[in-house]
Amino acid sequence: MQCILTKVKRRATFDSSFWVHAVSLDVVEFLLDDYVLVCSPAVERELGGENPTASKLRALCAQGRIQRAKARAEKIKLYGLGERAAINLALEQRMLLLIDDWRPYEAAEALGVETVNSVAYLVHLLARRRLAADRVLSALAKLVKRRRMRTEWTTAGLKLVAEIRRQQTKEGKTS
Amino acid sequence: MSRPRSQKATITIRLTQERHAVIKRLCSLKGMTQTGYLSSLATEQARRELKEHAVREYLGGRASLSELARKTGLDVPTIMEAVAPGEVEEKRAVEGFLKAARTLAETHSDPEFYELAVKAVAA
Repeated sequence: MQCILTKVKRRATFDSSFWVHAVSLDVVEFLLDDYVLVCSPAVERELGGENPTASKLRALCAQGRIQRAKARAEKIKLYGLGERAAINLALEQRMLLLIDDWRPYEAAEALGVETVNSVAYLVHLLARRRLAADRVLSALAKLVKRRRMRTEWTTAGLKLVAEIRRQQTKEGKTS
Repeated sequence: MSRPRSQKATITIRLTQERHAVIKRLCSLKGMTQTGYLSSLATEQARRELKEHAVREYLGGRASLSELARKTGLDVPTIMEAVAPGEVEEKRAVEGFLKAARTLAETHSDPEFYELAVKAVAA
């Protein structure tokens, strides 16, 4: 009997802050590999017209690699249009929410939405051995330098990178 | 075929004779119309102040990026770019990052971890 295993990808939506980081940290291809990405029109709009970040999103949408969708109802009315649209979409369609702006991130968590930020995603890529520690550290350093993430998040990320490295080195020695 | 004309708004400003003379002189030197000069000056200044407002509000934790994009009319990448710190703040952030990396390297007896962090910061 032949058994075919297919990877079932989870649907995930994102806000503008996460998308800007995903492009600048060069992790978009990993995201496309891990999730069915869905973008709300409000997020697309607030990314603007003529900049590399917005162009990348438009190109991927045009290629059908990122879907467009919006929530039917607005359960929450907090924050700006893009964040609100992303949170409502995640809430309504039980999607994973990829978000880096800490205030709406915390609001989404309080509403029971499953959230992931760039730091956690980078750590996940390291744990899965899909990104090397030096690349993850470079990405974290970039976020720290640009003051784009909460210090608590980047510090936690750094601790996890050190711990994963320790475990991976131990595994390498025992195998 | 005629090109579609963009709609324009009219703002009337009243100037004292002295102020008007200053602008008139500069515009004549620059070979610009007073309208062209004042509209570009005001627009650039307004854009700069919108960015400054967005940065202040964001760093003060008073508004999210999305809210600021709506309020200022700027796109999110522009606001995020503007949030980038000055030299002193960047140095302080990097020092904090490296200090934490050194502590972790010592805790895990992994000196290479600190070296990687130093390289990451330098890149």
